Amino acid sequence: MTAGVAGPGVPAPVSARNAARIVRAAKVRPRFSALAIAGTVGSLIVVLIAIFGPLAAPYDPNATNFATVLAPPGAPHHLLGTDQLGRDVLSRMLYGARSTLAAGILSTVLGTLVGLPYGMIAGYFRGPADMLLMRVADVLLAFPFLLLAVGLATISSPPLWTAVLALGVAQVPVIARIARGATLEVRDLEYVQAALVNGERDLTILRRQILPNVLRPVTVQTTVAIPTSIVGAAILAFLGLGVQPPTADWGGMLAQAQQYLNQSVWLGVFPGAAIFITALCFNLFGDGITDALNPRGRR
Amino acid sequence: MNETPLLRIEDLRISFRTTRGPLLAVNQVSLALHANEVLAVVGESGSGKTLTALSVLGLEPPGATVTGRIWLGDEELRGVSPRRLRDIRGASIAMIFQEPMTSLNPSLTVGRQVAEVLRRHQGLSGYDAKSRVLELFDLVRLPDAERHLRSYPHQLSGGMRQRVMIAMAVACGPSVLIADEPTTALDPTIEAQILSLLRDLRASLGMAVLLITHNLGVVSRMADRVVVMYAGHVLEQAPTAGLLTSPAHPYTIGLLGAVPQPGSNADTRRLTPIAGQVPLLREEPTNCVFSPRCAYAEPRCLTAQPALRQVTPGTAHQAACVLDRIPDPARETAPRAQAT
Repeated sequence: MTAGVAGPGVPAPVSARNAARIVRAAKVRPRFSALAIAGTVGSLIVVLIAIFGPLAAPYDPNATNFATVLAPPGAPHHLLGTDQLGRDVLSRMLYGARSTLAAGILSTVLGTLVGLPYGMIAGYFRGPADMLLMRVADVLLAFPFLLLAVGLATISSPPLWTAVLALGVAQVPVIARIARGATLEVRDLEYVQAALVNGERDLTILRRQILPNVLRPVTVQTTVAIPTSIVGAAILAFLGLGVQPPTADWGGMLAQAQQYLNQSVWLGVFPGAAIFITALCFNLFGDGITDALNPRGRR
Repeated sequence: MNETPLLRIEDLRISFRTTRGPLLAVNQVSLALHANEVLAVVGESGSGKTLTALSVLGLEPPGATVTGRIWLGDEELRGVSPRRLRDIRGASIAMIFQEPMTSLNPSLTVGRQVAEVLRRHQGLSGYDAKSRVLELFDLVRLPDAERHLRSYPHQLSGGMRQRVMIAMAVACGPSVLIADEPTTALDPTIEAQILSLLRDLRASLGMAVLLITHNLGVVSRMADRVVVMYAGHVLEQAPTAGLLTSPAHPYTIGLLGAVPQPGSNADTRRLTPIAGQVPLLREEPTNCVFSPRCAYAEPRCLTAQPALRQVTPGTAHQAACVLDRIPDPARETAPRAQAT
């Protein structure tokens, strides 16, 4: 009772009560760091904007008004100003979140749905199957995705789906390689052998033993890929291969703003900042997911 | 020991084709494991003991050529369909491994991993599986079983992990448990606990145990019978007491001479290593496989690998050695001096 912080009436440092408190504190230790929470909240807000943004938009995003062209932010009735056709930038931003996020998320989902089983099968069965699958993936990886997008644009019509498909296909080999690597890492470990010894079939082993270990690196790649795909969608929109001009899209807006940079910088600043913040939030969210999925904990 | 054995291996031969030519890993191995028996397979690394066990389950590495027959009761395991083999694995024959660190999936709770075996073979799920897992955890004396249902492997100690592995192995009441060096990675006190657990489970569940080890201490504490393997061949087999007190094969004598023995002259007796190393066999041996390292090798040892023969008539003690009498190592100070 003489040592340390133990004052009058305070129980000894290692009393049962204190021990219980320490255990409780350890249990409620946050699974997410502050940054990860910020990223998660930010990502959530962006997603909510994509879903409900159009309801909050003050104007029709495509309504032109040549009386107020290139109005600066803070202009009357136009909080974020107007573009070169007098369209309300705030409304276009709110509408644009939808196609931008859709291209980023859907293409990543597509790439993962194909790439994950692709890589796991290659890594698990190895041999000639692995050889064949991964060489095909290498070819895909070496193929410039813009060229792929141009090719796809000629055969599929709705531009958003062209962008999603092109961005998704471009991700397949990347995710497949990660899934294959993670599969190779665990497939010879004894617990896979133990599952075989317990009479499990290959598909069950892939699903129950290997998938949980592959999911972690693939999830990380996925969360990195979403912002990359958002930027990719912007590139496609710039080239006229993604979302077509009248439709609001952050990438498209950024591309158009380029011509007016010396007159109205904000035209580029808002979509650019939106893409940047979205990318940042998804990345932080991804880091948080990585930590939370790591059963050993980082701390 | 006269009833039909539970598990019978007949003339097993496992070879690999490598870039440096063929490799004969297991040759002419015949074993019989009787109900309720603990049979220890002893040998150095590379003697083919683990490979023999894996081939029982049809899990030899890809590229291995396996011939011979393996019977579980009256079912010939090397002839059954892959589907039937999967049903046997985990249900009739279970196996535990050396390294409890890597034998459990780090991404899944141990409760779920044990439940998985029950789901696979007994169709149990949900509450039924959970209560059965709890029973199994109690059976393997895992402390705080309820809490550990949701523990991840890294939250458990090595001994606890091995208990979980044992729970998985005995989940479906196998008739044969293959234990591949089950205590090698554990410290001696935990080793003793795990061994006594295995002994108790063997008795209460009526399993036969095929114990693969290189630890003669474990053998003396656990095994009813011992098979000594060397370079893919069975060199000696005998009831444990007989083998430890009067080994008949020079290799077994060498093995016993290389480990400290508790008791009598533990302080003064020098440990004698066996010189050389286990040879890699490329083809059918034309001499006794141990002859290059044998202190007693004679010209007739270089003509063929001897077959197992009765050491003393009327006993179960067999050795694959042509020599009639090996000088007793306990009284022999320097056996190598007599080498020809």
